[in-house]
Amino acid sequence: MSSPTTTTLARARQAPFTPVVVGAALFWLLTIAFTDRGAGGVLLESLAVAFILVVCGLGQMFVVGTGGGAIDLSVASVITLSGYLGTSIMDGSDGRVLPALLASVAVGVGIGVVNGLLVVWFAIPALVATLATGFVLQSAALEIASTSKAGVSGSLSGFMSAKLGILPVPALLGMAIALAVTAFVRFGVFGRHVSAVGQSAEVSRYAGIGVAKVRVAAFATCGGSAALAGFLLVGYAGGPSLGMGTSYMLTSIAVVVLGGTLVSGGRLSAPGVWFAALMLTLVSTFVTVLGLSSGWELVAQGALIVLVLVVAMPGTRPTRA
Amino acid sequence: MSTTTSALLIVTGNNRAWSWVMPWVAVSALLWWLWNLQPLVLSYIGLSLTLSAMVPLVIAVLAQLFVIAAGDLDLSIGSYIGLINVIAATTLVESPARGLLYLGLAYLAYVAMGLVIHWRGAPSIIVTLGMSFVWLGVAVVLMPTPTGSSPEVLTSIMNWAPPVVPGCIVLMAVFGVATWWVLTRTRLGMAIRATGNSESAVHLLGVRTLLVQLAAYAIAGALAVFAGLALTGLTTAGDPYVAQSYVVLTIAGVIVGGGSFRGGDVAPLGAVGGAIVLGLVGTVMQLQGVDPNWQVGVQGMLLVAILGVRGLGHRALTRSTGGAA
Repeated sequence: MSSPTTTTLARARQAPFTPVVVGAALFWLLTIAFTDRGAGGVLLESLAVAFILVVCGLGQMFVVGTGGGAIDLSVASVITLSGYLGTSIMDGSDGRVLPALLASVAVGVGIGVVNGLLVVWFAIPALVATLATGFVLQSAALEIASTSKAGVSGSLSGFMSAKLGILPVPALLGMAIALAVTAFVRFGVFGRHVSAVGQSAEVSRYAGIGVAKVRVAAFATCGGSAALAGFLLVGYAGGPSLGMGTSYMLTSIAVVVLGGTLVSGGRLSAPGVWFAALMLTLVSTFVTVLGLSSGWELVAQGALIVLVLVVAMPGTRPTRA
Repeated sequence: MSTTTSALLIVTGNNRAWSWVMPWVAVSALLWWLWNLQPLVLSYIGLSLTLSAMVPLVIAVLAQLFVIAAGDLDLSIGSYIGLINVIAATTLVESPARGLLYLGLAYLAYVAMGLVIHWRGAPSIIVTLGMSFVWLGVAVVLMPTPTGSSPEVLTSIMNWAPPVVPGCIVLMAVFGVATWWVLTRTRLGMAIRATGNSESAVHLLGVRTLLVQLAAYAIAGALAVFAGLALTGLTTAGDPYVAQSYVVLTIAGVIVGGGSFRGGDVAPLGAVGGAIVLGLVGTVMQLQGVDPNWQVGVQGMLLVAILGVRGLGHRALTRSTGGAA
């Protein structure tokens, strides 16, 4: 009775990231319809722009996956701080790109560890703990911004705008990283542990999983990826700015949840993060192509987030008996 | 339980009945600190100037309180208050009838947000996150650059100066006590808190939880509108981004005031204290001449300190009393 097509369709319908695949495809088609740029060009450009969001989103995915409504609100500040830190270490020199990158990511990981410890040792809810550390980092970034006048290295900017043939390097990197994380989550131990902790910390403890360690590691991953994103962002934008991280704070959470990772924890979906990032970027492109002002861009992104969530994702209503 | 344990419970903010006290101790400490820096602060005018700027925040914290009591979180409150501010500073001034209509529509939209969250069982964090973009976007479309003014009635309310007690203190007290009364002394308040804490259990008891949750959002929405109107009366201008910091501040105010994210676990009077603490810390830092770059960071460290102490206290006490705390 069930042919290969129906089974594939049934599996696709059940995949957690199906809604955002459909959404991304929809807005890609809409954008192409309203512009005379080529379909491929639009897609590749959006993939390049979405790259930063993919990186932050994947890190945020691990935190959200640990469950209990954990989210990392320090992402924006880590991005900004990492941007300023990286730039001041690089100071325009190509040779210092690698040390700057390593330093920024190390700082990001360290911040993540602090976040994790606040949550695990001091029982501060993740939302508030990361909010607070975000504030401190904001001050640190302000401090660097007011004292440093360094510039971005040429090779970093070049790297971010480079192309392999017609494919932008960031777009390729984004796909590669998403694929790598998908495999890591599926086959690696850490991903399984995060899912387990997200589903039930109690049971994970009985199973011998160091729940606290997993939580701290999840925050460390998020901090590290946000730092990486910030570092790459300055290459893209040509320099750091104080507001560079703000748009990523809430969108990094949105792409995680829209992509199918459960807010309550327990199911990670890396492909979902990638597709959701692409979808949100295409929405912005679509609104720009229509010639509408930036206010409408915000409305479109917000409405889309709510729509996908409400229409396409299973909710939790209590049932009588 | 020994007296030391009880004292420790209260001091670290872990005693449910008294958790609302600590923020007010902090308020007194901060006022004393301010008074040492500038004795005029405790005069009628001094208090009016210091505290009137906090009235919108206090009302907003109470709005967030209702949402948290219902077991949710409203990440859109900053953008929503910005939208109310924009409407009040333009349409309401030019054409009061149209302005009231827009405000009414905005209010219905907020309640609809609550309906969508609970009818579909969607996570409030993400729905409110999405709606925050919508509110902000609409506000930016209505007012691309900050401008506008304030309706006279709002400015006069915010500048009200009754004898003896500054008007702002009266306003904060009225809103605070009303919230406390609704949440702790009415059936609806109890239903909201119970539903927020354990929706399925309350649902199985036959309570129409959807209506209860809608009621919580209806009250929160009204408070958010009042906060936006108060803010307009104070700033006498419109700016979509004016209240962006309110998301953080309202959540912090509720938590510092003794509430938690568990749902149903809120302390209205403590939350008012929490909001004032956050506002006063800013004033103290300015008068102390703290480097402007670091003022935000200090607030973060303070938040961590307060909650860290509470968390440590909770862990130590649950261990010593075998979970009875």
